[in-house]
Amino acid sequence: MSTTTTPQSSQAALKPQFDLAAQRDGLTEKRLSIAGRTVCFKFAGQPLLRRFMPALAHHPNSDAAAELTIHLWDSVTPPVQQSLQEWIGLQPVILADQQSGWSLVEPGIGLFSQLTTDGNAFVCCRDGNQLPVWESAVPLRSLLNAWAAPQGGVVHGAAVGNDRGAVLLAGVGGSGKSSTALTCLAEPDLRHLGDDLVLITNETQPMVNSLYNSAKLLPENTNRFSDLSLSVNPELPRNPEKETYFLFPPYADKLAAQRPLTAILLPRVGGDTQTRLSPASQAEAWHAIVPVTLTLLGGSRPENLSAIVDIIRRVPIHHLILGSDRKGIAPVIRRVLDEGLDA
Amino acid sequence: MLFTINASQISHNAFDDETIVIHFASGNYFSLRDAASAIWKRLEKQPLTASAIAAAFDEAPAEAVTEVDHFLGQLLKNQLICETQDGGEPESVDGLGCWRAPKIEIYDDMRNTLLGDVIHDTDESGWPQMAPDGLRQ
Repeated sequence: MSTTTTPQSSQAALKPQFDLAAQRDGLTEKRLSIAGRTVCFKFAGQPLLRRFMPALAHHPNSDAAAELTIHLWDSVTPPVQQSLQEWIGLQPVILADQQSGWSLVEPGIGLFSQLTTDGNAFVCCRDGNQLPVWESAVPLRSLLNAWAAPQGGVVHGAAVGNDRGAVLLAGVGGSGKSSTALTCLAEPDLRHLGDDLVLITNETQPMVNSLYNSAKLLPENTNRFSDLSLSVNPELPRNPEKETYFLFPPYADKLAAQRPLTAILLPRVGGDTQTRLSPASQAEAWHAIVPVTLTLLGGSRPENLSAIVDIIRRVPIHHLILGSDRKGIAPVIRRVLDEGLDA
Repeated sequence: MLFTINASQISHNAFDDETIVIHFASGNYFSLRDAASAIWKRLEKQPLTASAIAAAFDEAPAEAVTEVDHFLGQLLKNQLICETQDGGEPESVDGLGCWRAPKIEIYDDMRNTLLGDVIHDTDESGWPQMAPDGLRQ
């Protein structure tokens, strides 16, 4: 694609648009600590604030200087003139070069995101009130993924942990990762870090970081978790095919922000009563994590992929063969967290 | 004909028992195991011909060159490798052990894993209509 802008021209074109929208519709600022780094969200008006913040509301407020400032506003016209063709098309387009940083145009839902190289990001939406429900469950995922490179990346998976570490539960839809994570929600010593997408980082040691407090369940699985107080957000549109629940605030004390990554577990439903572990290869972890992650993010940077592969090489990997007795799941995970994969 | 890895178009990772290659433009990814993975690792080091690769196997049968040629053809067709004039030293290929026919597994179903909640799921009228399965982008 030829549509690129330099950092200077991006700032010159986008910041005034945001400022105008903020002047017109009002400015709300949220400064949150995500993955140990401060991110400042500047919302012009209410639609995107209302749609994006519920899934991010569990992150603690931060007084530190922002490493990333995201400007968010609505506009019926494309935010960058050259992107008009993409704005009215159907195919998502990722634009990346060393000068302009990274841009994603999602014309199907009318969303433009740009990450510049100076710690700013611009997110313009055609109509925040019309965003599909999944954008509220996992907002800004591609932008945050681009920001995380090269130290890490957003990956498709659930994560649960205790005070010492966490396991990443990775697999395609229906493998049992969400059910496993929600099952652990009832365990007093276990914490929840994510249901669908988490951020893994690879600095001195692999870490798993919470991004969203949302959880999605198929209708046929809802009854299995009737003992949990799962509730939908009445201000957001519903998706009867896969309902979105928010664990914050009802489970605020069960949510963890960041833990060392102890192991990667690849859940799958087994035929036995008992849950057990069996060895898995690094390549199997790749197959469980990377393709669906790329799909959910609409693409990824090679730097993100490198970080994910490095992490796969650094931690133990096992299949988690799920038994029909739900009570047997948490003890296996607890043993992995406390004793390692020899458990 | 010498072949080399098409590095600008792909991401590839070698694990103990498998090499996985992503072709970014198509979104397809490829699994190379055993002999296929071993050949790929040789191609990482230097451009090679099909005959040089076949000769690196112990007790390679007469049809080995044809089979290797077919394998390289699949890699070429999927733009994982490209032809090059920049020659290496094919005769110096490290041994590849006993002959096994190289095979490639092609995964072109990444779009089928969309799970109904990703950015592609719109039809020509745009959001909020969901595209029927057969019409997904």
